[in-house]
Parts: sequence; structure tokens; C-alpha cells
Amino acid sequence: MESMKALQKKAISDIEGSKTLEDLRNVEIDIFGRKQGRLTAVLRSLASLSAEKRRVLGGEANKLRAKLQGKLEEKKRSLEKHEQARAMQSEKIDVTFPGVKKEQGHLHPLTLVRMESERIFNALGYAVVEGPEVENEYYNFDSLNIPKNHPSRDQWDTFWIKSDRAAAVKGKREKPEEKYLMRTHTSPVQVRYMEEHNPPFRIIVPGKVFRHEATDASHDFEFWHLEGLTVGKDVSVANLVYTLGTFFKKIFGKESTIRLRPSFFPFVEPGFEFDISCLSCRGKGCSVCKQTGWVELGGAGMVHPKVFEAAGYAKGEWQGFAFGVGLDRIALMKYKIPDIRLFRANDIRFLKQF
Amino acid sequence: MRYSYLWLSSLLSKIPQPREVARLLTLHSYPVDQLVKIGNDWVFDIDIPANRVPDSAGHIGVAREIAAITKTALNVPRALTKMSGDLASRAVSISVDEKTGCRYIASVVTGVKIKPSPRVIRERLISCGLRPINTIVDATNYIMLETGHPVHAFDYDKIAGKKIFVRFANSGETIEMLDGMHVALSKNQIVIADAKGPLAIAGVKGGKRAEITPGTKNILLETAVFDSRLVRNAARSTGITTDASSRFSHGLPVLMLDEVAERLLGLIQSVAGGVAKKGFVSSGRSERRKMPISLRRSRIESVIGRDIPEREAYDILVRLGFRVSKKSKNEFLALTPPWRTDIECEEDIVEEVGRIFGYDKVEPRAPHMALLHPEESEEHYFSDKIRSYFRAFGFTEVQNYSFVAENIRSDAVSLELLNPISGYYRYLRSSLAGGIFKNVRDNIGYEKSLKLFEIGDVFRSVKKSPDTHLLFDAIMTGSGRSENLYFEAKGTVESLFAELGITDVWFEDIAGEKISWPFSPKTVMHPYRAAFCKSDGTTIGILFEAHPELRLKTPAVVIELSMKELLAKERIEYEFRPLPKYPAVVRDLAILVPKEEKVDDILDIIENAADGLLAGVDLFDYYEENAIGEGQKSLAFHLVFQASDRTLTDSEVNNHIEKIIKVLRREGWEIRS
Repeated sequence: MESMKALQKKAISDIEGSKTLEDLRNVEIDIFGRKQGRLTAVLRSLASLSAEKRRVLGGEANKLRAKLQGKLEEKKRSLEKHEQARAMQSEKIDVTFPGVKKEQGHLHPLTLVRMESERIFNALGYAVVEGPEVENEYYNFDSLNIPKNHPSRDQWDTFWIKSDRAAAVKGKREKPEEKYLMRTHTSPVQVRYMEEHNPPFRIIVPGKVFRHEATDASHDFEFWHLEGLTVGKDVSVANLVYTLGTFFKKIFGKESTIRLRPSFFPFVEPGFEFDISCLSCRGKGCSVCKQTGWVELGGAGMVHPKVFEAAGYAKGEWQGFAFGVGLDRIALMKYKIPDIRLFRANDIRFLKQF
Repeated sequence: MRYSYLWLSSLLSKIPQPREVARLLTLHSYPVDQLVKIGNDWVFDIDIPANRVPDSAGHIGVAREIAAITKTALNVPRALTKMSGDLASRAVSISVDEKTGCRYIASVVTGVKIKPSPRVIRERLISCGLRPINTIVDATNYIMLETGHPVHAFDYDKIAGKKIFVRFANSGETIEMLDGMHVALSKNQIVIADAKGPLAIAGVKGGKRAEITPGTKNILLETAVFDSRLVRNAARSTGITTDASSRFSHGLPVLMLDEVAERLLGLIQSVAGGVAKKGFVSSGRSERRKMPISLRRSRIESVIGRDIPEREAYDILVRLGFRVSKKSKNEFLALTPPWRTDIECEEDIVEEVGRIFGYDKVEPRAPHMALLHPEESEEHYFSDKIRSYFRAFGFTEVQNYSFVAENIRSDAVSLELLNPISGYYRYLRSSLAGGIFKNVRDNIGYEKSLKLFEIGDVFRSVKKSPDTHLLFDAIMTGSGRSENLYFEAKGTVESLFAELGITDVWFEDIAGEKISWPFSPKTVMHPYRAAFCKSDGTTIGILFEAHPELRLKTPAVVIELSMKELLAKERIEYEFRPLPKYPAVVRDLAILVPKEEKVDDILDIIENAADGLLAGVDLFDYYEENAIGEGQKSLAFHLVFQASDRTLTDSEVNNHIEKIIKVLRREGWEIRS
């Protein structure tokens, strides 16, 4: 029977020399195996010894067993870790391999701009209101202080609806002699809304509008307007400047500024057109802004007393501002789109960019 | 309109550089669209708004604005006229039909010299885009460009009867214009006529008969104001739009007429000599000066949102030609200058003060208002919700024009445009399907599996009144088996309904049923792959495969939904339900049924055969093969059993299955597992 010392030496060297878990299992059998385990043999031989010797040797043998078991466990853990690492290495993937595509839909760029505009105005306390795309002459023109046969009507090239009987669109003012048309602006909703609601209020009206115009890169016969109307007691031009300025800073960035120029729309007085500082040249002057540093974006003004009158408000009671801006034009500028006609060509390669 | 920088300078004691003038006019008056150098002059192209044409269609008007903005003096040279001999009223008489609403002033000059105009006049005309002709014609054009007021000269010797009639044209009357064109006149057009007939279409253009020629010796000068609407209509109906007609149609100030007549006569005499007969002959409507308008200082501050010092407001109005007096401590009285026809109320005067003061000096100020929650457009927000769902389902939004070449529906009466831009855009669309079919045709070359949708109004005429409906259309294309595409689309609709909390929805063959507007007509549908989608007895939408005749080059399935019905059915209500405490038991059941049996009916039979323990049934496998028998199909279901108060035992579940199987066998169906 080999000495305990020799057994320990060989056993430890065998354990440490194991390269795989299988090696280690063989070593374990060699030491602890029930039949031929070397340590088992030692333990078994104890029975034939004297009580005194058995006590001494038995104690040593048990200590050795505990030590070798500890070594085995330790080695086992280290080999397992090693083998897992090797296994994982064999699972290495090419991270540059393309990802599995998730089909993603897209909203129309005009919808995106409209939604963003609505979000900004919602935060300012504006409600979204709608009106009909087919209008009658009264709401589109007369109620807005644009009389029949007046040259100011020429500002709005109109699509008229063919009809052998002229009739009225639903609304408070049913005028049987009115003709139908495609609304040329969203302003008719001003009077429609005011007929049903009392101030103070803040509304925006997004909607499609139609103009009988030749089309080119910056003009289409159908496009989106966003109308705004604020009516209260002391609503002023300064409030209009604040509101438009805030809106465009949110849409185009903090550095954008607006300016008002006097202009004429029969339903406002004073009336303005408003420009935004050119985004391409930051106001220095370039081909986009025709060297002026400014790009025209829409019309605005203080609601004309005649419009309040048409809506049935008491004279002199209310003040308000209104504005209208083309969403197509905002989208053109924001997304740097060169041609307005791309919006309704519905080319999937265009739509998927947004 | 075009304006010469040199001409404007001659009317002002001081003028800034051309670019600065353009900037100032744009900021305070009206936009200068273009500034171009012509020779040693600069030409402004100014977009005069409709309400400012009456006072600003001439150089004096624009110079007046510059004077008011830059606080300089306006120097308009006085007209010098010399009259002698007979009274003009002896040489001609004027008769104005009152109903024409016209004011007419005539003067007569004898012995004029027809020759080229002086250089200054010729250059100014050229700057403004007019061609110099001779002293008389040039002088009339010059006066128009100077005062904004068109005037006319006739050859006096060609006026029959020495009498001018301003009257409505007689039906059947014709006139030969200066350019030789013959125009048939109608009864609502005003003409300037003599004893023989029309000499000119009032406010539009002169005729050939009394035209100024190199041989002209004596002339009759016309200074008039015609009814703006009648001139506008005459220009439209004859198709002749002139510098004169576009000015007259904006309504020129009658109060300025005497001064214009005087300036015209003065200029004619200075360039063409001649002797003017004494006095002017005038007739027709006269106009009184408007009453002064009171202006409260508080109103300026309230509307503009900035306090403008009283002195400054006063000065601005005076510089613009208002006569201003003080009515009370805080109130002015402002008398509108005779050349301004656009000032009618206090707000108009506030604008005058505001614009000259400068809107750039108005500081932005956040409004102070009550925070009332406003009523909102439900359909609008709902549409955007649907948009975001479909985007998440992988669909891309399109926007087609509202106008189409023709409508795919024959049963709805289309609304038609009176003045379409072209035949491609003649009708208002009565359906969205035509648009998305086109989108598929246009894009199928780029992508085989398209998923597109549009939300928009469709239109029809009901009893000759327009009717609109907000519609939703989506289309899916794909290259695989087209019935899979159909069920993929159906699954999409079902997901939408689940999102909207609409649970009681069923699909029903369209087959022989009628489809009514706003849904697409049967002609675009595969007759055996089309279903109504119903809830609560109403049709919310339809689901169909596109008819092969549409030649989309791909199978395509359309989902069409009425936004109105969908919104009415929406009922999202989230409410907690206790989570199941006991496990569910799932058993599979495969049955063989005749091919024409509908899955919905089989599910009904299974559900009716079971009692409350059956928590759900799912179809998970389906096939048709000859091996399983002609005209038969195999359906396999997962049956889910669950109780809320105990774990079900095997024997309990088996009993249930047996019960269901018995009922199914009674239908004559074979159970396969």
C-alpha cells in the first residue's frame, strides 16, 4: 500500500494535470472509485489496523479525502468555465450581418407637419376644428367681407361646382342663391365656428384648400392650410407676433424669426403678410429668399369688425387675430423638398423617407 | 405695377437709395417684388393690394407713402393751364345715363401738335413698360402713371354731332377697337358714344373711329370714373384687360377727378401746345367727402398691443394727408384725404398709424385669456389615431388629389367642376379606391409587397346638394397566394377592431347584396372574395380583393372603412379582469367537413355544444387535399378549457370533449383525432 504522502502527491498532480472534464472524472475514479480507488483502498485497509494506528491514520486519511475533494471541485469549476467559454466562442456571430427587417409604415410628410403644428398649438391651448371642403359662396367670400364682383375676390382663384340649381351647404346662413365652390382657404370656418361659439376661444383649422392655379414646383391646385383664430377682449397684434413667433421657433428652430408686413385681406384689419427669416442663408440673402433674407409664409391680421358682424357678435365687444399658413410650404422648407408636386405623386420611394 | 425711381425722386425733396426705398415700402406699405436697373433709372415692381390701387396706382401715390415713411416733403408741381376763347360747353355737350354711375369731365383743345414727346416723358414711359407714340397719347399715359387715373383723348373732329353719350350699349352694337379688332357689345357694358355709335368701351379701351392720328388737330380729353363692377365685368366678358380697366375695376376716387382733368390739360398744353376752350364740361354722379372718423388712443394700444405716443400718431396721420383734430382728451377726429377710398372705420385708421409707426417695433406679448377647454373635432383626432395604428401595422400613407378624371361609381352622382384645370381633374372623387389603385400601378415596379392607405373626404351630389363622407382605404399587394393576402388584410382589420374595443364584428359575403355609397362598387371587386364588415347591424366597412380586370399586375386586397361608422362603434374601455388562478387545459380536435361549410358556423356549433368551461376555440390548421376525400376539408382547433374556481380534472375535460364530438357527429362530420 502506498504511503499517504505519495498518494496525495500523485492525486494532486493528476487533478491539476486534467485537461478536460472527462480527464477529471477518470482521476476522480482513480482516487475515490469504489472498487479500485486508491484512497478507497487506504480507507478500506484501516479496518485491519490497531485502534491506536487506526485513529491516527484514519484522521489523516479523512483530512486527505476532504482536501482532494476540495481540489477536485475547484478543478471542475475551472474546467467547466473554460469549456463554456470555448462553447461560446464557437457561437461567435458576425455582428455586421444585417438585422431582421421590421416592416415599418410611414405617415405622409404633410400629416407629420400637420400633427406637429397641432401639437404646438394644443400646448398653447388651441382646439382643432374642421369645416367642409366644398363650401358655399357665402361662407367662403361674402361673410368674410369679400363681396361679389369685387376685385379683391381675384386674390382667390376659385374652382366652382357645376350646378343647375344653386343651393346652400349646411350652416346657419342658408342662402338659396349661393353657389358651391371648393374652399379657397380655411377662413370660412372662422364664421362657421363663431356662429356657434362665444369668445374667448382659441382654435386652429387644418384642412385642404383649392386654388385654380397653374402648377409648378412651388404651386399646386390643392394644398393644406392651417388657420388660426384667437378671440378675446384685448387680443392684439403683439399677441399675434408672440403666437406666430413661438410656433415657428418650435417648427424651424430657435434662431428663426418672423416679421409682419402690411397687406390686404378683406376679413382682417390691420392685415399682414408674414415672413420667416430664410433658413438657407440665415437672413443674409440667397437664391431661396431672392436675396431679401425673408421667405413669405402666410397671411394674418386682426379680425375685421364686419366678420364679427357676420358671425352675429355685438359690435365693439371682441377683438381677435387670425392667421393662415400653408402646411405644404412648411413641409417643403422643413424637409428641404424641391417640388410641391411630390406630395401628391405618392411615389413610395419618396413617402418612405419620412 | 412698375414705378420709376427717378420719377419718384422728382416728386420728393429727399429720397433714400433704391434698395432702401424698396425695403421701407415693403415694411410699411406694400411689397416691392422686384427692383431692376434700366438705363440710369431703377424700376420697382410693386404688388399694390386691391384696396390701395385707387390711391397708389400712380407715382404721386407711392411718393406720398415714401414721404410719410421718411418724413420728407412731397413736391407735386402744379398744373398750368391756359384757357381762352369760347366755352368748352359750346363745343361739346355730355350726356351721362345716371344708371351707369359714372362721372365724366371733358375739355377741348384746338390746334395741338402731334409729334414725339420730350425725352423725359419718353424715358419715364419706357421705364414703366409703355411705348412712346406721340405727344397726345403719351400725355394720357403719363397722367395715368402719374396720378393712377386712366384718361383718354379723342380726335374732336371725328365726333359726330359734337355730343358725347355715356350709356349702356345696345344689343347688337359692335365697335372696332384701336387694334382693329371688332367687338360685339352687350347690354350691360357701358360705352362712350357719339351720334353715330360707340367710340370706346368705357374704362376698357378706345375705338378706332375717333382715334388720335398724325393728322389730328383738335382733341377732346376725357377724365372719368366708371362703375368698378361694370368695368370689371366688361373686361372679363370681352377678354380685353388693359392698364385702364384694371385700375377702374378697383374703384377710383371721384373726388380726385377735377385735379386729374386739370393736370391732363396742363400737360397736353405744355407738350403739344394748342388752345384750350374755357372751362370743363362735366356730368354724372358727384360724391361728397366722407365724414371724419373718431379714433380713440386706447384703441390703438389695445389693437396694436403697444402704446404709440399721441404726438407720433397725430404726425403719422397728418403726413398721410388726414386732417386731424382733437375731439376730447383721448380721442381724435380724422378726416380721410380725398384720394383714399379704403378708409372706412376706426380699425382702418389704427392700421395707418400702426404700419407707418412700424410693426417691427411691436414687441411680442403672450395673450392673457381665460383657459377654457374648447370643444374639439372628434373625427379629426380619431382619424389621426387610425393613421398611427396603420402606420404601426406597416402601412404607408398616401394623399391623392380630390379631383379625378372619372369616378368608378356609376350609382352615385358625381360633383363636377365648372372650371376644371384639365380633363384629368374634372370630378370630385366619389371614392378613394380609384386613387389607391393608381398608386399601386405607379409603385408596383419599385416594390412587390405594397401596403398603402389614405384617409380623406369623398363626395357626391344628393338632390343637387353636395354630400361628403370621410373614408378610409388601405390596399395590400403581395406575390404569394392571394387568399393568404386576403386573410392577412382581414387580420389587420381585426387587430384594428381589437385596438378600438369593437368586439361584435362579423364578416359576411357580399355576393348578391347591394353596396351603397360611400363604399366602392362591386365592379372593382373579385366576386368571390368580397365581404361586408358589420357590427350591430350596420356596415362599417368592406374587405375585397381587387377585380383582375383592374390589371394591377399583382393580387391586391382593399380594406375600406367608413370613419363615421367606425367612430360611432369605438368603445375602448379598459377594465381590470382578475387573472386566472387555475391552469387551462388545451385539447386539439380535428374534423373533416364538406368544403362549403363556413368556419364561423362550425365555431358556433362547438361553442353551443360546450358549457361555460370552454374558454376559447382557435382554428390552427386547415387543408384541402384529394387524399382526404373529394370536396372535403380538414379543420383543426385548439379547445381551451378553464374554470375560475378549480383545476379541471382529465375526466371532466374528456366528458366535455365527448359532448362536443357527439354534436359534431350528428352534423355528419368525421372526427379525425
